[in-house]
Amino acid sequence: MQISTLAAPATAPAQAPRRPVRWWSAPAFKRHRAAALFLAPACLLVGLYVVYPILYTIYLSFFEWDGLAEKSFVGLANYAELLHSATFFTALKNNFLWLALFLLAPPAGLAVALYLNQQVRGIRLVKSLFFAPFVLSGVVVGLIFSWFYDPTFGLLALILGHGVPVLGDPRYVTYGIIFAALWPQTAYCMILFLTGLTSINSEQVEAARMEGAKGWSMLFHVILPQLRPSTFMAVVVTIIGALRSFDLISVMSGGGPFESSTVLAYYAYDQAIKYYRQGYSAAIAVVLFGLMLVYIVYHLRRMLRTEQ
Amino acid sequence: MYPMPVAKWKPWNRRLYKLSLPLALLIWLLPMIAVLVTSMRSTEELMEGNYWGWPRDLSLWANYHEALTASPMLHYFWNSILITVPSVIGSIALAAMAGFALSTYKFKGNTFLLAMSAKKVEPF
Repeated sequence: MQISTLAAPATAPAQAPRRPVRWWSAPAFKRHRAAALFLAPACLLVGLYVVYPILYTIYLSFFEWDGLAEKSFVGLANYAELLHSATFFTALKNNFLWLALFLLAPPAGLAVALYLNQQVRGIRLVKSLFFAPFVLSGVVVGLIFSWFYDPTFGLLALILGHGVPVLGDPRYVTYGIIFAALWPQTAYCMILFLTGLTSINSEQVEAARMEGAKGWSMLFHVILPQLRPSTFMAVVVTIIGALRSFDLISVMSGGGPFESSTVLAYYAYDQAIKYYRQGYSAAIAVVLFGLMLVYIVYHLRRMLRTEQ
Repeated sequence: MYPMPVAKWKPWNRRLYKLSLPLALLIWLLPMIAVLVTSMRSTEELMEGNYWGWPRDLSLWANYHEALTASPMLHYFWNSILITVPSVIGSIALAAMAGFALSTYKFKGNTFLLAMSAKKVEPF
């Protein structure tokens, strides 16, 4: 990371020093050094646990490797195989399905936040209980919803009057899992919007009210613009959550039936852990990373533009 | 305040709102309540498929006792602590330092670093 130019602070001493200042004790260098030292541990860790694995995964994706024996270079063969694998396209399709449906969480969270943003007795307790699902581990959520969908004894079967094997039917399984994942995600978005709502400028709201704004027009033209930071955060976290989805699939369906509910992350795991195909799995991970990169680059550009 | 505070609502609507809160909470937390109740259900009842009904005989303690004594759960719990405590301390310490540097000092790549750290890029 290049740390070269430094904005001179307004408080810098103006008078010239009596004896020549050694370069390492010049204020500018000191500040650089301080910044570098403060950043070094975090950068080191990111390098070790994020950058290095990414680079190694890309390297690995050009090899065939079972994790034990010698790696053998196969060039782009892993990627070529990927393009001929039906499961890969199922996983890709499911990833996009996750992305599309998972984006229901921010509006749902906003709705719940608006519903709970009142001052009545015990509302704080209600708010924290509404947040509770997010604290549950994905494994627990998956297990609960597996019971919920159980075609013989599940609550869904009780409600409908007849069992629907949601998790056993390739047509419904992904929707069933996404629905389960939406539960904690909505809770998370709700908390983001609730904190956003507390910082709303009430004078502006009152002024808008006097002008006759209410209901939807109020929401869209006065409230949502002020909630922008919360919305932005909610959408970012939701998109990344959708692309990273793994635990619920692993618990609820194991990618099945007939690999119909698998996503790229699960497919990569499946190939690496069950079939000892590290190289092929790395190629899947690289594709997933590429997908995320598209989004991240878009996102970074936006962020840099707003900073400038 | 948005939405309009309940204090300014019509009395009936206000009552309705207050009544709806516990109901909404019940529906929202139904899955969690089910887990809580099931933790007090006997194995026989689960075998019969009574997942969602009220347990016939509430065995408040038996399952917990069994989980704590018949499995190495305490050891697992200890493992969780061993992972959680250092990672919380470590990540907060590192993040506080980096955050301080990013907010106090202005240098090239400042925003880039901030943006990079704002997200988790790796698939897993």
